[in-house]
Amino acid sequence: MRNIFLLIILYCTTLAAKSKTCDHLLRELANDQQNFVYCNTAHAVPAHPQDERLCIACNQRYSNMASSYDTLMTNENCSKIYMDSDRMNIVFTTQNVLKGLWNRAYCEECFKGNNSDIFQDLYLNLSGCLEENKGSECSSCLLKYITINDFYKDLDQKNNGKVCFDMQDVMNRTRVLWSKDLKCCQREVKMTAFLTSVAIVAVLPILLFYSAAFVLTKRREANHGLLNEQEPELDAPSSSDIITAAILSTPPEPPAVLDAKTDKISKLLAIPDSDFSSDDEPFANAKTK
Amino acid sequence: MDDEKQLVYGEDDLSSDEDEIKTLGAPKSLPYATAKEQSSTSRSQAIFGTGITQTNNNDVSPLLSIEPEPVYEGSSGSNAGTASITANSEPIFHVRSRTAAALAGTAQQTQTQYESLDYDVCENALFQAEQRKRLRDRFSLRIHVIRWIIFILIGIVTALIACTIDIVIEELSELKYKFLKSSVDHNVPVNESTGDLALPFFWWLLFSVVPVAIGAGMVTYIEPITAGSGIPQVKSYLNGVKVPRIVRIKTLAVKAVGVITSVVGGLAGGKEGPMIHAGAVVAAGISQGKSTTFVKDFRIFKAFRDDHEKRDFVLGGAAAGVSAAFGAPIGGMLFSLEEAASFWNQNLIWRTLIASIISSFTLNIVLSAYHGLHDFTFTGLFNLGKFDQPLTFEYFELPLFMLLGVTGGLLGAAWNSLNTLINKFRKRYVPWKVGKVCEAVLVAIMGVTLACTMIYFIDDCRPLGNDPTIHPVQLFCEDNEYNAVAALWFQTPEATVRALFHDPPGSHKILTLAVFTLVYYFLSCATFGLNVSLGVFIPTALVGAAWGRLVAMLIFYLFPNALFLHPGKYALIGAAANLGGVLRMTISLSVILMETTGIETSFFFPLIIALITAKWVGDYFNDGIYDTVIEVNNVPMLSWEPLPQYKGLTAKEILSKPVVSIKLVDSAHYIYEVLQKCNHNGFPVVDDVVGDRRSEGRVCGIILRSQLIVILLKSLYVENKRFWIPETSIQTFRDVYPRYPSISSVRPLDRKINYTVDLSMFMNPSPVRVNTHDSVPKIFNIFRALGLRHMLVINNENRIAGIITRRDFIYK
Repeated sequence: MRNIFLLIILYCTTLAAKSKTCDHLLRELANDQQNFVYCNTAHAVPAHPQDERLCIACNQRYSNMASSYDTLMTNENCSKIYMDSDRMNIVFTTQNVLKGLWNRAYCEECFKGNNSDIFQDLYLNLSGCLEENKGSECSSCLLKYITINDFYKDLDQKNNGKVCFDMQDVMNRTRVLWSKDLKCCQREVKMTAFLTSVAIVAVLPILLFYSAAFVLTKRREANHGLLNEQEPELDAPSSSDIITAAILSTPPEPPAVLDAKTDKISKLLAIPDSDFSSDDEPFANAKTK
Repeated sequence: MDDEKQLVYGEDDLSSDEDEIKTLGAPKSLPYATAKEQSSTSRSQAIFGTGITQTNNNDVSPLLSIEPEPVYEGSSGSNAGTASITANSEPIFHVRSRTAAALAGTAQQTQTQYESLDYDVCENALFQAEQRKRLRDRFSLRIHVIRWIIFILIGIVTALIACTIDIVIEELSELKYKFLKSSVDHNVPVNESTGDLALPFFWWLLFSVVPVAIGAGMVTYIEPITAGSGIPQVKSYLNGVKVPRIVRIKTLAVKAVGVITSVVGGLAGGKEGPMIHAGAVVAAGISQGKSTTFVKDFRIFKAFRDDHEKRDFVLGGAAAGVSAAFGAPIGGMLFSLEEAASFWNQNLIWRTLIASIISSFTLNIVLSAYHGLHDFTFTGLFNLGKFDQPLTFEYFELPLFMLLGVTGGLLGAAWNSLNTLINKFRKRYVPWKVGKVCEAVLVAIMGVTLACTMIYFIDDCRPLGNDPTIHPVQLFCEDNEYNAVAALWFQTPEATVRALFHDPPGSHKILTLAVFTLVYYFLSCATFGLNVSLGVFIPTALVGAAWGRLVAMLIFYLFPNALFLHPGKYALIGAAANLGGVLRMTISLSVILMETTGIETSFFFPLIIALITAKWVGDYFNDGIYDTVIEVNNVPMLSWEPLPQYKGLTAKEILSKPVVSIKLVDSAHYIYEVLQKCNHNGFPVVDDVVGDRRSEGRVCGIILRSQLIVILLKSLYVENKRFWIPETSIQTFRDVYPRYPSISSVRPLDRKINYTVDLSMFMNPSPVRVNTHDSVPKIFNIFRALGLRHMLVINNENRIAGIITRRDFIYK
């Protein structure tokens, strides 16, 4: 009996200890998260350009937080207590939000290879130069600026735009400083060559083509116009009465034209006519005229 | 004007001579200038008349020797009258007026090329024998199974072709614009670096001119039918007009290469129309199981070798093409429904839908694999992308959408008439083949120049990274910024539409978009009608999306508090309105837009409002662009309704007569002569003929020209019956489909001149017959619904009184 009582007490205490451990772990996690958030917000915008930025500054805290989360979750009893326990599922949610923040900044990229260090060197180089040559930054530091800009562009292309936020931020500010504040990015608009080539390559051929088409067509149609004048009677009436009427109604013409016409008419008259065409032709003439 | 009179007073033709002489006198007394004006307009009518009544006029000639009846052109005679004049007289008459001069050489030829399809199945004795045999077969389902297989194959092959075209275009454009971007980047004169911006301009010109020249050259010199979008041609085909060479394999090849080169060349056009055409060709090719071009007969699918089956398959192919082009299976099916609804039956709808769905599914698989997606989520080639948040609208926006619709209708109508004008100009002033290629190249140059000038002179810089830009060009912008104008131009038009739909607010300046809209509106107008294979859908949608977005931006500029103004939404409505205004398609267009953007059902209503308003406003001014193209090409399309001029007439007043008929048992010599002298396609078979007066005989059937030629070629005469009876079946006639031999390939009948032909076995014993007193709207409905080619008109004693064909319903 006493034994059993002891056992129960022991059980209760271990249970208490266990839950106390879980509680403890949870508090640790909360603490780490707090630190991480504090660090993030504190480094949101660097006060001085040389300050540490988000990824470098908070990396330690991020790994602390990740490890305490892992410890909490690997402990089966604890994970049972805190995972899927209620609607809010707070531990999981907050951790995810913070992790998402880190991932969206591509902070992992900062610690891959030595890109970060090279970039930092280049940057220090440039900013040193800018400090030294007050007033003549554009000419003196141009090479350094181009080096860092190109390095960044390369990196950007290699990583498909997934560049560590620290570098992005530094680069952004440098570019703004360079082009907006120092006005060193002078792109001169030199358009004379372009405009001349437009005139030669585009405007000229288009004008030439359409005017040529216009002239050629006009000339071709002028010939047909001649035919038109010469032979308005050709498709006309088959009976001689109508022909005479038609001839009378036409204005006087040069003899050559007249000759050609009478020739045609006589030819036409020579053709024996079937009477079916006679009732259509005047009509057709009216239409086609 | 005169036609109408002629039609009404048709019977009085002979007596009204004096009247006509007066009308003849009238234009004569006019001053020359105005007379010329008249001549050019009326002449084009007359030419059309020639085209469509060519056979009417021939109707007469072979009969002169046989037929004592006075020739009496009846009421369809007004056209035939002019026709007989122009055809019988010297060729010089064809080139009398100025417009006619340009048309004379080619138009005359092409117009007479149009024939109807023999959609009506010829159920002659041979056909019935085959049907009975099939019934006795244990596997009578076989033909249906094969038909299903063909439809599935059509879907798959169409999608594969569409994928190929799409992938090639995408890859080549990617290369082109990547190169141009780097060229611009290197040649910006920044910080004393050498380089001149004229250089990228020249590169751009090169990359546009070379592909466009290749494409235009191929289209012009190899296969002119492939010019344009292809939808008007397919539409005519589905309406029952045999457009020559439209469904050949060569056409497909030229079309595919043509569309790739033109889109890569950067012309303002899309690949959707050509894909629909491609689907139609694939369908016609697969279903026949043979290729005449490659002289290869696979000896399969022999049962489908006639116009009826082929057209049904083409319907499925066109649907599969739409479905592949837009990723819109239902839209594809409805496109077929809209364009050819009169000849539909339920089975065909179902098969067409299956073909469409298979097509879009195949496309999904292939393109998903190509783009490295593991689920089949890559939908459609014309992928407008899904809107990331549900589109909502407020009730007070509906009038706004309606206004957008009105704008779309006005702009569309203006676009159509401007395009018609441009094409009229082209037809008259640039009739040479070299000129056509040059013009395509020049339009490409113009496009590049305008785009380049816009990019260089409009200063619209946006910060990088806010919206997805494929090729961000910095140009004169600060570091970390890109040029928004270049972003619009440095991609295919399709990608630009997508960008306009989905870019976040504030991606462009108002000026940029306004100039872009203007430039693209006129550029697309100049492009459509060039001798290149390009569709009109994408540029139209692009212009619409641009001005839709512009409207939203303008309103937002005026009322910065109007938060409902989602620019993507207005771009969509603008695109719908512009498409409705230009194309005037209703059912399929709305469904296609719904399917390609995947919008919510609740947003269908605003879309429909914009579409229908645009269509109504546009219809007030002119026809849709496809119908305009069809009309300009003088394709004898049957509209939905009989023309208003025909209301209240009876068959007697529109029929053509006398009819060239053939006796049930007639001499081979007569048949040979008739075939040689006239180019009719169907001849009524008559019996109870008194003497030689065949055109008053009693109707017992109809026989087609192709059948008669086969009879003569194979010597299927009564006298040698025992030799051919056993092996003659319906297949004998199907083998020569679709390129029937002409009568000139039949050897003269020297020895067999006295042989006779018994048509009772070959003729179609159940032609559609109408009475002379039947009303025209009624018979029009029968004609259109059954897809007829010939309609016999009989009198009360079942004697032939005339014949009605497609051209008798076309009023010009």
